[in-house]
Amino acid sequence: MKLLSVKPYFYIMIPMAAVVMIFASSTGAANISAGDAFKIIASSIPYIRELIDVSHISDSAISIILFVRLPRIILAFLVGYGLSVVGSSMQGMLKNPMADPFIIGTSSGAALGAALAIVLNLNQTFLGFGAVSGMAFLGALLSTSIVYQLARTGSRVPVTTLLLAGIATGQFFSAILSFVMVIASRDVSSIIYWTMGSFSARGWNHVLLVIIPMVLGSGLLMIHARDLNLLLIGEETAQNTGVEVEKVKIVILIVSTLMTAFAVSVSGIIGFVGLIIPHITRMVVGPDHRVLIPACGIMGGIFLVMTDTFSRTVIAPTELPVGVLTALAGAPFFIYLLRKAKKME
Amino acid sequence: MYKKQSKIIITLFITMLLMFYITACAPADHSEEQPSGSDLAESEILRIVSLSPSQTENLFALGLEESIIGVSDYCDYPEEAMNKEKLGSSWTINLERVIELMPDLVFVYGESHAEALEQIKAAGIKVVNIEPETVESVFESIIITGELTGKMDEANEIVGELRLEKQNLLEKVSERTPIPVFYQVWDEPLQTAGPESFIHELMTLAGGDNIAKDAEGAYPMYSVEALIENNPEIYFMPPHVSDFESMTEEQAESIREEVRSRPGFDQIKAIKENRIELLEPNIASRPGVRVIQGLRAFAEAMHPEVF
Repeated sequence: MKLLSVKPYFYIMIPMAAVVMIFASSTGAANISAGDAFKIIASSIPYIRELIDVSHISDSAISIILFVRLPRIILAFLVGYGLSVVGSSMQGMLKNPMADPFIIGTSSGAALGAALAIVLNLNQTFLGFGAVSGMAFLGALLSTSIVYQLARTGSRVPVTTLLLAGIATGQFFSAILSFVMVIASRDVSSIIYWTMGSFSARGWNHVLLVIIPMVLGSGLLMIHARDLNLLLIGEETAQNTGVEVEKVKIVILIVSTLMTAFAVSVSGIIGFVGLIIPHITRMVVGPDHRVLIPACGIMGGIFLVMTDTFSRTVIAPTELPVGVLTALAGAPFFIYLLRKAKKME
Repeated sequence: MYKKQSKIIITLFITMLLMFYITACAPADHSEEQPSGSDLAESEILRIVSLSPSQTENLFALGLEESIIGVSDYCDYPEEAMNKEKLGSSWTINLERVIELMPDLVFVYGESHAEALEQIKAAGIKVVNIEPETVESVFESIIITGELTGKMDEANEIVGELRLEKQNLLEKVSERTPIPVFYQVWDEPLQTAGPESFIHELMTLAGGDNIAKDAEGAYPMYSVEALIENNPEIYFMPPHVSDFESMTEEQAESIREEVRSRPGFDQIKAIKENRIELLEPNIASRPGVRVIQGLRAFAEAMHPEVF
């Protein structure tokens, strides 16, 4: 397939992402008109700044838009982008439609780390990041490296062993998490809220934390897109055509793990995005990873910005955990696409 | 031969399992054999288990220290409660031990563990759910507890004093205009005390205007945007430290500093005027005999000029 033929998709998707983000930044719990919101954002851009008068807008409105809402939207986009890119690469590498960024034990490790930080009352902050974020990050790395060590035989990492080790380790960490929740039942609601994922109270420092891993990581995965295409045909065939299969798998695993750990540390566990967005995108743009990976990223970003906007406005000033909405909104849509694809066959 | 042996072992094992199952299912028979109160001399003293921290406080206040034979894992006030036997919590009851102790009364907070409560009742033990959700029902619960334990006079006296104290506090703040306040239950995600919570009632009585009064339920997640826009004058929070009493000023300051550094918070009046109040969480949220202390803590923080 020629790459040229899919270019139109990106001509649609990129402006769509822009529109969704602009719409998201104009809606929220605070009573600020969309017009004022645009003015505030525009006034922070150099050169345009001089043309816009924001003197009639209160300082708190400016703060809300620039330091609360905008970083949150960008963070939601980055996390959605990262999880979907990782999801599509994992599905390709593991040749398993059930694969998602959390399949190799990442989420349960992260949840356990976060729960321990909550239960042990760790409230130190480092550069504006709480102990919960840090422990979630470490937990994710720890559980994934255990899975990797379990699955490795010599220099090879067989896919089946990897999946099984991921499930076993995940269950093990979940069991410890349940134990922690029973012992410290006072903190159960905080732990559950965390595991449902949320972008509440996130600022620019969180954006700065994840932007580099997401951009670099997705770049690295896209470099290996061609290898992923060959892996889909079969590991042996790929090996014969000159792909260093094991090396590619390890690179993808490490990059995916780091990206997922960063995403989880700023947002909690947001399920569904990394599983379903790759499937939906594949139905639209086809299975070529050179197109699929970037397309997934943009779609995932759009999807998560939309669901997060909904979660913070639908019963404002109360917020919903965004993880609840991703599945609630995404599952029916996915089933619809699945039925449509079946009928077309 | 080997096969036959293992078959016998398995059969035996299953039989044993079944026997265990049958005996475990019949706690009622077991209890009827034993008279309640093993010692006749002690049978005059009530034997009470309290699985609710607030009810434990009430029982101690009524002078029932000797009667309490077991408490929940979370009962930490007064200090003497820590010496009592721990029997789990309202959600994770150590059922066997409770039945073994054969108390006359078991107090629980909420009936979330209904099956366990049924079994305790089946063993002939009286289970009382004390789950007050308003200040007035805290008073009622103390009276009810007094009736059940033969401490009617003490209960009336305590409630009388609490009512008087409440009246005094309300009079002091009645002339004041309510000031907008916010109570942070948890930080990430931001969780607050909504209109259905006990904390909300206390803050309102103390002359505060809870900015989260239009949120949903008892402890909802709350929008940071709405928090900044509604601009509370006081930011209440329980500090997440293991022991409130031994918290140093340095720790308190670092907790406040963390709140100040959150994005957009510099616009909130409470932050600008440095009115981040760290409250002992158990006084504010435990619907027991210390409820008026909680009310006083809120009132003093909100309207220091009248105290």
